[in-house]
Amino acid sequence: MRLLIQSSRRFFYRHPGQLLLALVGIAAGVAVVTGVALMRDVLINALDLAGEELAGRDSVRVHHPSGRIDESLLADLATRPGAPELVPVIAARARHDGRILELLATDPIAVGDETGMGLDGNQINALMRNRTGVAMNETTARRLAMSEGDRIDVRIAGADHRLELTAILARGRALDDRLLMDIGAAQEVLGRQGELSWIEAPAGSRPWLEAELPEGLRIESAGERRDAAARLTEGMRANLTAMSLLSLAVGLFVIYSVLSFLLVQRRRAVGMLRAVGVTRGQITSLLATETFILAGLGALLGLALGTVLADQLLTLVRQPIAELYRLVPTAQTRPTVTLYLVIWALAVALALGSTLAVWLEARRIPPGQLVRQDRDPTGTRPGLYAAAAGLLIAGMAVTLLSAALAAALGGLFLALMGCALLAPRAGMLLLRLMRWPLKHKLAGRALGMLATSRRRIAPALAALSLALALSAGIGMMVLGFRVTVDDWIERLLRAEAYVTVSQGVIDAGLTERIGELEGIAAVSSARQHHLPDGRVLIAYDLPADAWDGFELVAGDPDSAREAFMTGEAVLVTEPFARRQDKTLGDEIVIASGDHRHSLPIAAVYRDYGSDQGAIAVNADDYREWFDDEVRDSLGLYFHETGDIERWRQRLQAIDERIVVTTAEQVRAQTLAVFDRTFRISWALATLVGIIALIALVSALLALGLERRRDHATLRALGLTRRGLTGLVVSQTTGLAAASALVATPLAIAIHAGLTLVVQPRAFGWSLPLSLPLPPLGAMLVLALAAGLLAGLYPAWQIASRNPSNELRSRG
Amino acid sequence: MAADPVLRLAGLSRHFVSGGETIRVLDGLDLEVAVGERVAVMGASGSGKSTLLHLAAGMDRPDEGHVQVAGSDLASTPEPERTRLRAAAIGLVFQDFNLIDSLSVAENIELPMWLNGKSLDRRTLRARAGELGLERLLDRLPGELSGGEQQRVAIARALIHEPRLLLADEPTGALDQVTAAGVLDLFDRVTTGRDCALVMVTHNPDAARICDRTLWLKQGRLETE
Repeated sequence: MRLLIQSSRRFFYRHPGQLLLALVGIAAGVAVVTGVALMRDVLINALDLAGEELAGRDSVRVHHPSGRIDESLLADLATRPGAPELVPVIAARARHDGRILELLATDPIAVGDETGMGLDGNQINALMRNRTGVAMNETTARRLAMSEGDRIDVRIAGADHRLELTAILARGRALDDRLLMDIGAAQEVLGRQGELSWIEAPAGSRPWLEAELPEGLRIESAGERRDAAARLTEGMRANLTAMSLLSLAVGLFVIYSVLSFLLVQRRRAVGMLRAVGVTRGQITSLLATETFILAGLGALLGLALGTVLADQLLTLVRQPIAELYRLVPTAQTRPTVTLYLVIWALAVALALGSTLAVWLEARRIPPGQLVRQDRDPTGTRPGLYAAAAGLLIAGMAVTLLSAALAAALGGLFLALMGCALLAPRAGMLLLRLMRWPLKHKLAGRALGMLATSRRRIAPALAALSLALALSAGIGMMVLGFRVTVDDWIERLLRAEAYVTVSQGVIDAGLTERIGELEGIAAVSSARQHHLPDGRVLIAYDLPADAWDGFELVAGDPDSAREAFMTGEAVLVTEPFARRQDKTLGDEIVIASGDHRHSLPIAAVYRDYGSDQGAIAVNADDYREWFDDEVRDSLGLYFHETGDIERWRQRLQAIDERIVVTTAEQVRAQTLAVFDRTFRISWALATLVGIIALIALVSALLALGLERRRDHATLRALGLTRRGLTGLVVSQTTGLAAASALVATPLAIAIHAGLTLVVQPRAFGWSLPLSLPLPPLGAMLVLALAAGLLAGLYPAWQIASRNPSNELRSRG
Repeated sequence: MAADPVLRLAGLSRHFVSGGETIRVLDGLDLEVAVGERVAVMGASGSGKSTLLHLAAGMDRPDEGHVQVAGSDLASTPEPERTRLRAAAIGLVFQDFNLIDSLSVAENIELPMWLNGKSLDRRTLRARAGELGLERLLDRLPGELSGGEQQRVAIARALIHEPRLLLADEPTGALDQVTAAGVLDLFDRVTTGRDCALVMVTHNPDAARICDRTLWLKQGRLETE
C-alpha cells in the first residue's frame, strides 16, 4: 500500500492543476455551509450576548408583557433578604443613518470592569456625567466611522435625539451595533422616567425570583430567549440552510468530476497495477485514501474560508433581521470546535459517498489494460433513471403533502437531486439537437464530439444545470415576490399622506385637531399592541377608502367589513391564521385587564409586513379595552390632492413634532427593506454560481486533457490553433447553453416550489405564481458568457500544446 | 527537366535535451522525394525516425536546415500557414491509428475535407471507403473496430483529400503479421498511379517491398544501406 500511495503522491505532484481544482471545489462548497452555519448560530445565540455580558452566562430576565416595568420594583426587590444582584435595563431600537442600532441603558457601575464590557473608571465617569453620553465597542465605532467626542444623531420611537460618543470599549464584543448608556440619562432622554424594559439576574436566582416576584411579571431564561429568536428567524434560517446544502451538493459534483477524471488519466496505470497483482480491494483503498485526504484538506480550507465568509454574510443579514424581527445580532460569529468537526466530517463523508461510482469504475478495470477502452456507454441506464424518477416523485410527494417547513425543504432537495440525475440525459439530447443544424460547421463537429463524452461531462451538466436553475429560480421567486409586495403595498396605501411624530406620541387631541383641518376628508389610524402571549394586535380606524386596502384571502368583504366596523369580529393576517391554525369563524380571545373578549374571525387578509402575523381589531373597541388613546400613525385622506409641502407646513403649524410621509415614500421604504432582506439570497445564489463555474472549468479541463491525443491528431491533420480554440470554446459554450436550457424548466419548478410551498410554510403568507422572465434571460446570457470564459483557458492550454510532443510521448 | 521534389529536406538538424544531456537526433540530414516516389525509412528505436516525419509534416521545427513540401519552405513559414499546408498537401498515418474516438468512421474519413473547407457527399464518401473495404463500417465508432480496420480508416482519412505527400509513421507497428501484410498491400494499391509521394517510417522489412527505395537512419543521417 505504501508504494501505491507513493505513486499516487507523485501523480498529484505532476498534476497540481487538478489537485487545486479538487481542493477548491470541495473548499468552496464547505465554505458556504460553514458561513451559513456560523451565521445561523449568531441569529439564535449571539442575540443574547449582551444579556450574558450584563449578568453572566445563562442569566434570567424579568420582564412584563407590556415591555415596561415600574422602576420602584427594582428597589423593592433589592432590599429583600437574599436578593441576587439585579441589573436594570432600558432597551430601545435606534435608527442612525439608515442603520438600526439598539440603545441599551443600564447602571454603568454594575457592568464595570468585571464584566465583558470592559468599562474602566474614566469611561464610567464620562457616561454618568454626560447626560447624552453613550459608549460603543471598537467594531461599531469603526463601522460608523466615529471617534470619541463625535455626535451621533438617532431616531428612537419616532423622536430624534443627539447623543455623544464618550467612550469606545476595547472589549464588549456583545455590544456590536449597540449604544451603552447610563440608565438614568436614558430615562431622561427617552422620557421614560421611573420605567425599565427588563431586569437581568444571575442564572441561579430563578427560585428566589419565582418566590418574590409579584403577579404579572415573567421570568425568561436565556434558553427561552434563544428559542423565541429561533422561532422568529426560523423561515429565514431554513432558507439559508437549504441554500448552503445545495452549495455543498454542487461542490460534491466538482470533487466527483475531478476524481473521475483523475481515474481516466490513470486507467492504464491501474490496469498495469492489477496486472502485477494489486487487488481490487487495494485499488479501492487507494482511491478512498486519496478522496479522504483531498476532501479532508479541501474541507479544512473551506472551514477557514467559511469563517471569513460568515462575517460577510452576517453583514448582509443583520440589517434585515433588525428591521423584520426587531433583533440586533452581534457583528461577529462564534465558531466552535464541535461545529467545525461536524461540518468537516459531513463534507468528508459526503465526498467519499459521492465518489463511490468512481471506485466501482476503478474496480472494473481489467488487469493489463493497455489500450484505451474508455468509450462512454451509449445505452440507457434504467437503474439510474428509476432512481432519479423515484427521488423526484418522493421529493414532490413529501414537499406537497407535508405541512412542515423542514420536510418541504427536504422534499425539494430530494426532487432537485432527482432532476440533477436526469439533467445529463436531457443535456446530451439537447447537445445532439443543437448539433443538427450546425453539423457541417466547426461548432457542430465540436458538439458532436462532446455528445459522445457523456460520462465525462455528466457531472458538469448536472452541477451547472442545478446551479443555474437554483440561481434563476431564486431570482424568479424574489422578483415575483417583489412585484407582489409592490402591488400589495400600493393597494394598502390608500391615504395621500401618513403622519407620525418626532417626539412623544399622537394622542387623541392631536388626532382630533388634524381631523378638523379644512380639506381633510377622512383620517385613518393604526396602533400596534403586543399581547402578553406574544400575539400582536393592530387597532384600526378605517374610513371607507382605507378598507379597500385590505385584500381578503378568505371571507366575504361586505359582511366582514360590517362585522369589523361594529366591533363584532376581528380580522387576522394570513401568516397569523396559518401559524395559529385559525380559520374563518374561529374565536380569538383577547385579554385586557380582568376582561376577556372573544370575537370571531370575519376575514383573513393578505399581509407581508410580518411573518408572525397580527390580529386587526376595531380601534374604538381597542381604546375601550386597553384605555389607550394613542395612535402610532395616521393616514390622511384629502378632499383634493394638493401640494404635499403645503400640507406639511399646515400640519406642522398645529404641532411641530409632526412628520409627514407620502404614500410613495412609504412604498419606497418598504421595497428598500425588501431588497435588503433578499440581498443574502442573491449573494448565496452567486456563490453557488461560482462553484458551478469551478465545476464547469474542472470538467472542461478534464475533457481537454482526456482528449488531448484527439486534439493533437486534429492539429496534425491540419486544424489550426485558432480552429482548435474555436472547437474547445464551442464545446464549453454548447455545454453551458445545454445546461441553461435544461435549467430553464428546473428553475421554473424551483420558483414554483419556493413560491407555492416554501414561502407559505416558512413565513405563513401565500404568493401568487407569476413568471418573471428577466432571471431566465439573465441566466441564459450568464451561462453563455460563463461557458465562453470557462472555455478560454482550457482552449488556450490545449491549443498551445505542440502536437508533435503529444503524439511522440504516447507513440 | 526533372520535376521539383514533393519533399526536400536539406541539412536538417534537431536535438533534444534530456536529463541535462543534449541528444543530437538528426544531424545535417538530406532527403529528396519525387512525385509518386515511395521511400521507406528504417532505423533502430530512438534513431529519430518519428522526429524526421514530424519535421517533414511541419509539426516540429528543425534547429537547422530546410524543410520544403510542395515548394513551400516549412522551416520559415509561420505556424498557422504550416498547419494549413499540412491540411492541404499532406496525409498522415500513425502507428496507433489516432482516430478520433468521438467521431464515426465516416466523420473520421471526411475530417481532412472539412479542414480544407470542402464537403464530400455521402455517395462519394461511400465509394472512396469502398475502395478500402470500409463501406459497411461508416457509421461505426473507432472503438468498435479491429486494429486492421482502424488502420484502413486511418489510410482512407490520409488519402481522402488527395495529398501530394503521404507520411506514415510505423503504420504496421501495432498490427499482427497477417494484418500488417494486408495494410502494406493496401498502401501499395492506393499509392500506385497517384501523384502522391510516400515516406514510410518503419521497422518492418517487408515494407521495403512496396517502396522504390529504402533508407537507413543512422547517427542522424540517411544512408542507402
